[in-house]
Amino acid sequence: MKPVRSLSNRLSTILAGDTATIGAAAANKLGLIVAPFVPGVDLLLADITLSAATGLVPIAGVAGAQFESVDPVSGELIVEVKPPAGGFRWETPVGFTGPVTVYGFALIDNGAANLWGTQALQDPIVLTAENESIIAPAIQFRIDPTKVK
Amino acid sequence: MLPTLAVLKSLRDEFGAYIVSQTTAPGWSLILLLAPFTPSPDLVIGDVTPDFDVGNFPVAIPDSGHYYGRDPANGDLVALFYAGAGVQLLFSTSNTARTWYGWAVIEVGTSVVLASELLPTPLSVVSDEDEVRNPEIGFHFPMNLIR
Repeated sequence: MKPVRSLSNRLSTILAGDTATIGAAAANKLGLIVAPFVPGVDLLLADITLSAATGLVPIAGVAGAQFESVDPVSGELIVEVKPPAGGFRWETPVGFTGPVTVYGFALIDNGAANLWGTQALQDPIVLTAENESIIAPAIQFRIDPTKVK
Repeated sequence: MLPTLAVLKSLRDEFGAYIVSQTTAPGWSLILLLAPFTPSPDLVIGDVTPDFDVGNFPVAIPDSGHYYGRDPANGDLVALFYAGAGVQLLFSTSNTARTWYGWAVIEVGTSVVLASELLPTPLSVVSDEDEVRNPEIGFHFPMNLIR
């Protein structure tokens, strides 16, 4: 069925507050993917490689419902993962030698048992020395409500 | 960020649960429509002609018995609504001949339209107790719904 706007707009509210996934009570984490991958809906955690190196481990976001809004230009519904204080920021520690290549970001649950989403970097970033940092862009799920039928 | 299937499935389930949860007063119901219309995100009750005639009252969406799955034909996730476990929602006419062009989910009492769908071809019923058993009333969520 074709939902009217007021109904389809519920999708972002539902997703942002979905306690089983994006709005979990235990804050989800954003991790760095350090092996080549192709984003896809069928990806599982076992299909990607997350950095476990000191200073480059997954960072917990904010527990509970995430931001939700509407893009005034495209009409897309936006669910944005709330960054923690200090942001989703990684920095190579003293003594880091690398190289480590970052291919993208992965949103995972707090216990690192489930993968919720992936985002590839257009150009992978190679970390080679200490005091190098990566700051994640806004992590957004963009819903096109016109596609529900 | 591209979501995984687990996220899409959960969204489908929660969206379906939300709709089912609205069946309490004033209640959301399905009703057949008597005149041609164009399904749209902006559809309002004035754009459609609900069939409130005797025997064609809105059919309430019950609390349980619905189906959440994946369409093997195209991979869409689906939330389909039934009158009970596996039982299709049923409309019937008790009197005059008429032609139905589709159906809508409306909020009974306020007559706010929530969703609509055209029948592939209009369906004419001519006698008492002619029935419409639609094979699928629900929503499809394509895999590219979220990017």
